[in-house]
Amino acid sequence: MKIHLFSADYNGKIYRIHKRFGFLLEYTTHVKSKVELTPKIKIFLHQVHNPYLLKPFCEFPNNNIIPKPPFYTKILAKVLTFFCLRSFLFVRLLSNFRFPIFDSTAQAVLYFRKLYPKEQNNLCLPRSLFAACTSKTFKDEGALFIGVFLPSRAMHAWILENGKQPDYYDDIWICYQPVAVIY
Amino acid sequence: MLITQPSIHFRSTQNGLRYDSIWESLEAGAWKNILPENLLDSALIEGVDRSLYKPILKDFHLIHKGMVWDDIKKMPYDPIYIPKKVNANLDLFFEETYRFFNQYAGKQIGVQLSGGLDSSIIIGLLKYFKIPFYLVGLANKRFEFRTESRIQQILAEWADKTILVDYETCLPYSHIDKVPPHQYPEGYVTSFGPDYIMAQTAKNLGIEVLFTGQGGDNVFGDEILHKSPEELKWMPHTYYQGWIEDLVYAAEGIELVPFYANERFSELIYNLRLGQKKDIPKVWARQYFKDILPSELIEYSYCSDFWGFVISGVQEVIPKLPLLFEQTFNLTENKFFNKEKVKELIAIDLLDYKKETYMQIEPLLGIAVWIDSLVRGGIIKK
Repeated sequence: MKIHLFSADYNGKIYRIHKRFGFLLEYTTHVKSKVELTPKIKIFLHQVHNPYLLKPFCEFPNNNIIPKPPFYTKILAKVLTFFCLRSFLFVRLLSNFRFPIFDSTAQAVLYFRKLYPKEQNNLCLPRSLFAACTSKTFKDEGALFIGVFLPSRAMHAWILENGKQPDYYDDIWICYQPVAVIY
Repeated sequence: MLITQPSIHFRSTQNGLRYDSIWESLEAGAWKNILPENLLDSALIEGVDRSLYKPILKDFHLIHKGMVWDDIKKMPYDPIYIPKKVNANLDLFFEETYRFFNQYAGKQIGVQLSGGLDSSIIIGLLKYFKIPFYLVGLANKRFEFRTESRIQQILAEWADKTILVDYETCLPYSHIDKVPPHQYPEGYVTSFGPDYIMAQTAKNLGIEVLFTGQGGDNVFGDEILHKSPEELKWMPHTYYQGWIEDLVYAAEGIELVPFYANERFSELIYNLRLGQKKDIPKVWARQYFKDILPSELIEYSYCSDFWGFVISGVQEVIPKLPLLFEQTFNLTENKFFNKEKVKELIAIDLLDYKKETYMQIEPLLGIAVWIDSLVRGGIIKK
């Protein structure tokens, strides 16, 4: 998958993440991106800035609607989680592999949340990457965002897909200014 | 002049005797016997139940509005309110709400406009009943508040007059030099500045009664089980913010009213939601009150995180800590305010987003501000 970096503004300062290592960098002057945004990313970014343009959630998600995935799905989730938590380099590397297992990203997210029911607060990046890699729809309709909650250094990852934020339980993504998108 | 604090009273930790005021004891030196460790412990207790709080003044328990005195344990506690099972429906809720608003007929009503669901329901009800009202709120241009800002813009059109104050001018922990003398240290020092500015603004608008959405998280979000109502720990009296009500709003002639503290509303909502699981996004409330809310609040459950403002507020107040703590240490000789403690607090990494790290600043600052207010009020003579 490709990555595109954005600048986040706060109090006269500019924040970006390091393309390879993922840590947050602070600048006092504007850093212009050399790469033009694709029309697809422009739309996604517009939706992040205007969350009321997204489709609303209709109903509480039902875990029972997830078809039983192949036996290796659990191993895949654990491997992705293990490496994602160790270095952003692995995130970049692993994002190039695709395992189209789930019919939608929402299903992939639900499966991952069920796998680690009590530890989701620190697993936003592995969860989003797992969903991006295993969803059949992500490649054409989705984008994985990484954002920062300024002025803190707290970061968060989430997905937008087909005009929707597919993770019902993620109620914090709107607080994070995007600094990168993987698509 | 000392401001009265009708929302609170006190009990002796020795014999349980009740005192409506402890100004005389404070003048006699009761302020020296502070127990900051108890306020630090209380700050770590989650939820609204204050029954486990220990006294911060060695000689006195603070009794908030609605708290009850246990004469056997010689401790105050927060009583649990268990609503009765009654018939409830939307018409009845509207009827009761109208009756509630009617008791303020003739007074200028205002609502705190946060842009969230709880206060928006109050605003929607007032609009539905065609009761004139003003709005006062804190607005800002921060990224995380773009959804709340949108709701504020929509609802501002529904009011006869609206004033939105720039939140950046009254961050948490701001205006602490204006905190009036008060009888007991409080953790509410965080919200003094924002409320102080909102009270001034509401007063300038002519608001006499100001409704808040305090308590909405409980009545709309808590799990309500059929079989075990005793597990529901509703304490509507805890929605009152006595310290802020007395010292900030009443001081400006404004009655601050937490709408959801009305027990009849709790009773009706309890019966309407009976059997529901925990509902943090308040999906039920969004649907139930859909006829009086803007579509954005019905279809989405966005909620901004105020923590960015808390961080900014702490960053601004940190330079004031050395002087305030030095004054408190010189007067009380309490180790929680010595130079080492100040160094430790200043060294805290404010940007790590770990809320526990701030939890030791707020209680200690609350005590230092309390001591400072007593010095400014002439209760403590240097």
